[in-house]
Amino acid sequence: MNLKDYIQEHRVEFDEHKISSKADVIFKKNLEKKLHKSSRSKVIYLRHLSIAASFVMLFSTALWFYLENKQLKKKGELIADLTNNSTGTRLEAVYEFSDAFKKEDNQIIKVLINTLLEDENANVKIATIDALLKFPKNEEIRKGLIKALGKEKLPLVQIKLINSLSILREQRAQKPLEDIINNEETFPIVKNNATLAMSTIKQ
Amino acid sequence: MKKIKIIVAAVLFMALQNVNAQEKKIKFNKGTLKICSSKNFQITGYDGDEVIIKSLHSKRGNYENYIAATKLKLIKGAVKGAKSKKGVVVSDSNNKNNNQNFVYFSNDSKRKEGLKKLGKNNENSELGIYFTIEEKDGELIFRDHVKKGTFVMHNSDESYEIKIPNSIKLDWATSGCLNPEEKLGLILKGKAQYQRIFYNSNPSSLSNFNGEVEISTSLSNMKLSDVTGPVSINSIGGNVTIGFDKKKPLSLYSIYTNNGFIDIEIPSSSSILVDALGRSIYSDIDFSILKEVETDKSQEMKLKLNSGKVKMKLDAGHGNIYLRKK
Repeated sequence: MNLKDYIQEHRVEFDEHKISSKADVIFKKNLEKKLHKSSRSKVIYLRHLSIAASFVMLFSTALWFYLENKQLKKKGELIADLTNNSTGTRLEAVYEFSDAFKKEDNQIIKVLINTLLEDENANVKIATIDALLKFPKNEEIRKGLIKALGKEKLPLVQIKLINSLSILREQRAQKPLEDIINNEETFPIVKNNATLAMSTIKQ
Repeated sequence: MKKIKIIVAAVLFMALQNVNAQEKKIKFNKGTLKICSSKNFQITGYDGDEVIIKSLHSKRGNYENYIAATKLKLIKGAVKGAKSKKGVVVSDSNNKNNNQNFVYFSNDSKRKEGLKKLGKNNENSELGIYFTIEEKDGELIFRDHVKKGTFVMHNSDESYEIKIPNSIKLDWATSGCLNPEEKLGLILKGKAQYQRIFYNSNPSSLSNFNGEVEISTSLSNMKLSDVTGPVSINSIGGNVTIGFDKKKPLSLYSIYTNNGFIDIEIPSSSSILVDALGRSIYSDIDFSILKEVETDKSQEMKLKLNSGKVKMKLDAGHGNIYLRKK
């Protein structure tokens, strides 16, 4: 019996045979597999990626806030330490600003200039000058150093200020330098440094 | 033989009694001991609550009080019409004969017998203590008997041993202390009286102290041993020597000199981070070198030993820095 005869014979059966609903599902599945495979998985992939990305973003923002907050808190603490009774604590704060804060921060600069003008300890003042000299182009710092030179009485700090302003070639330092040179109560060694600085600045 | 022993013991006892008589004890265990004096002090920390002063020199005799004075051009009016401590008029800068120097030897010792010179400056002179001791606002202050604006070259054998409690702070200025107005620079030009040059050839020392230390010197040398910190020292022309024997640095060390050397002995177990700037830096310690800059005039190094916990900031200006292995 050939195929033709077989079909002829089972014609009615063929006509009445219905595909099972199971097969329908399988067919659908296969169809989806064939036709929509790439775009579907891409969507899923993108969705996963975006979820991951937003998590990363959320996490990094949180971390940034945390670090920024921590830095801010630390900054606040260090600023408070600058007026502590203990010279060791004040010094630690100045050195921390000098070592750990690399960015030019106006608030820090302001409090450091204030420390330079008001503190009573020579070490604190010298450390403060070193911290401020990290930003030699800052106008407020230059003004602060000139002002400090005009009122400073501790010889070692005077020498530090004189040398710093001489390195900065700060023309406006001439007036306070002149006052120091002409003041008969200035320490001889301070006077020598001032005279030398004056000639450097005038060059 | 027994008699000799007894005599020796008796003599020793008397000698000890004599030493004890030279001691002054002040109850002070909280606050700051402020020393505004160019005299020689050997200070030691201990776990107690009294400041104990002992004079190491012989007591000033009755014949020693001679006074020599010259007109000092450096500070106008410093000796103008001044009276010496012993009541002898020395020189008057307004006087036409003011180029003369007066040297006066007094020999009225017998008249002084059994009497005591009055006045605040002489409160402790029977103990051989020739500086004023004052306590106010939580501060115990030792001050030289020097009038403001006086030029002093100090080079006597006067020396004191002082024991201080570890619980206090030490603020020591060998060139005297500025008063608050002077600190703020409020004194008008020409009227400030902070021009004193002090010199003492023997190094003063501080040892075995756990409290906070602030030292400011001019010309005088300073020796520290077994001082854990925090320590801040600044000096014009003085050398600073730091040693450690039984202890190690535990807190910040900040030292600035402009031309004296800084010599530090560092125990190998200490954890320090050194920032050093000086003419040259010498060492035999295996530091990890974090940074180095060298010019023909100076050398700058950032050095780490172990985990680098304690900061050590050293600036010797034109002087050298020596970091030794202990």
